[in-house]
Amino acid sequence: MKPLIRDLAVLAALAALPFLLDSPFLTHIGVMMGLYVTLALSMNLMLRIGQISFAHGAFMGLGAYGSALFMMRLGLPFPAAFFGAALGVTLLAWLVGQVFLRIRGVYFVLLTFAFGEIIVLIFTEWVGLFGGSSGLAGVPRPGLFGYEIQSRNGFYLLALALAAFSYASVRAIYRSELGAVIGSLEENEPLTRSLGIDSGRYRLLTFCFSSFLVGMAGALYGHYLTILTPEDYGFSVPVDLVLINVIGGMAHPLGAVLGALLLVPLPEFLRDARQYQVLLYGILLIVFLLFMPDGLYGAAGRLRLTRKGRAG
Amino acid sequence: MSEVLLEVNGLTKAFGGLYAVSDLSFSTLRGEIFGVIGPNGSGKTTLFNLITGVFPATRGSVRFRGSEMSGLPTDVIARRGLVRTFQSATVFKKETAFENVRRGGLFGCIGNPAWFFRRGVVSAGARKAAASAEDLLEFSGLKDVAGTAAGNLPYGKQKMLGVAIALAQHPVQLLMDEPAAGLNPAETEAMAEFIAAIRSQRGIDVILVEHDMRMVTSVCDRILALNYGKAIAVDVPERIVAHPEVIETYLGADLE
Repeated sequence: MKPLIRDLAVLAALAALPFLLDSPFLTHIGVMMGLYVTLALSMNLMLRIGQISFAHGAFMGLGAYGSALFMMRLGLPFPAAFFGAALGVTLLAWLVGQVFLRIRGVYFVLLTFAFGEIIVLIFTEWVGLFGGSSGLAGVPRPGLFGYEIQSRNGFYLLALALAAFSYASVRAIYRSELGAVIGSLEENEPLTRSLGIDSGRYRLLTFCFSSFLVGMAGALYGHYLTILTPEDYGFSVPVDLVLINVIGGMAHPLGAVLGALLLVPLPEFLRDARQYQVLLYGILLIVFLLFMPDGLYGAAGRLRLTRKGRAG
Repeated sequence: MSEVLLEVNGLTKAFGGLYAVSDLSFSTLRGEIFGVIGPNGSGKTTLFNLITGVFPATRGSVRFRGSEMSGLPTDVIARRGLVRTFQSATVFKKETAFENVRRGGLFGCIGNPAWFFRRGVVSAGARKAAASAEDLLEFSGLKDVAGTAAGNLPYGKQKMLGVAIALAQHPVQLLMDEPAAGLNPAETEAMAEFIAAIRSQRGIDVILVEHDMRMVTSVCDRILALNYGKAIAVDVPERIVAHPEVIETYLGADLE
């Protein structure tokens, strides 16, 4: 089968799934998976350039609050509010990235952590605009082509479309010469620079696109929940995203998808036992770091190789 | 009369109160293989880092083909034709030898991500880079390992590959930081022949920082001897090895 036809067939099957299963609970998990695939892919881009952004939770929040407020305060239609918020997040990333990206390693993590916490603090303290810690209620449902999307299945399709776009674009980036540059920066920056690559601009571009994805996922998340609370956008978001990438495998965008498929349902099934969820995450992480350091994707690849070896 | 290619004037680099390079001036002529020698810590690698814009000079200027290079970032300097290799084998270890050299040829065309929007630039660059990678692997004797991951190559071949990556950018002048470091005598000899071929067959000038005295004197036209970041002498190899101060500081007084 041609790869494009295969991809479209998978997409069509995924789109039909909620209508066949007809389970609101499973559809809800599907929506969350779609959002988290996008979020995890955005973190995968940051992992590739070796700079883990702990501001991504707050950026997600900016997407959520931004899109909601564009509709509530400015009366913008959903598509304009959605893309406006995502582009706003991208612009912010472009502005702060000029400074932040010069800083490497643990200092970058701490800097983005502090920046993210400041943003969350603004959500909490600026009650007039963001509704404070009790949250911003009454976020409007998205309308597309004159239809207001109310049903879970409708949100599922939006989340699936977003996840498909994110996956296709990230995969296309990694397969292109752009991916060769990003991979080279990850492996050996001094060598890459000596070959004529303006590493700063490439880092900034990656950070901006990563933030664009986060902004879109956040915007959709806000319209889905219809109530926004600041604590949803703290540093636990980037921690989860790194976890999804580690467990799924960072080497290929499919890893982020596999990680999201495994980890997103957990909190939904363990809703009444949050402490067990954290415990389970911890155990999973230890098991994976010890036995499958390249994640589900890497383990699947090795399994295929051994099978081939045996067959040949 | 040969033209001046690289002109270093009053170059100075202070780290705190320590002068790694101090008021250094020299120039290389078109067609020359130029050596730089000096004991450890004499400022050789710092000199390379200054010329290629890895960090800024405290004072002084570097002119290349008549235009000022100091203050420019590394990638711009590389795209202008002044390309360096690294002291230890520096390659993309996970990629094949072929992909390493291909990237060397390609990256100059896409130094700035905005250039992706120039129609045809990337595809034309990629095509050219792939063709030139084939040719360079042959030239550097790596054709039979083209499909091997660079990290799995023996050290000598990795160093050779590092040079091939640099050559893929079609430099005007190649700055080689200790190409023989870590190589055995046979590999060192092959590297010396390779450097000579880079000039004679490719028409690329070379500046060579090296510890291996035999190699430097056999391959270089002129040599700059450094000590404590200062020039002791610039001269042809025969006179450099006979220079009393060079013998004292670098070769050791007990030589002979």
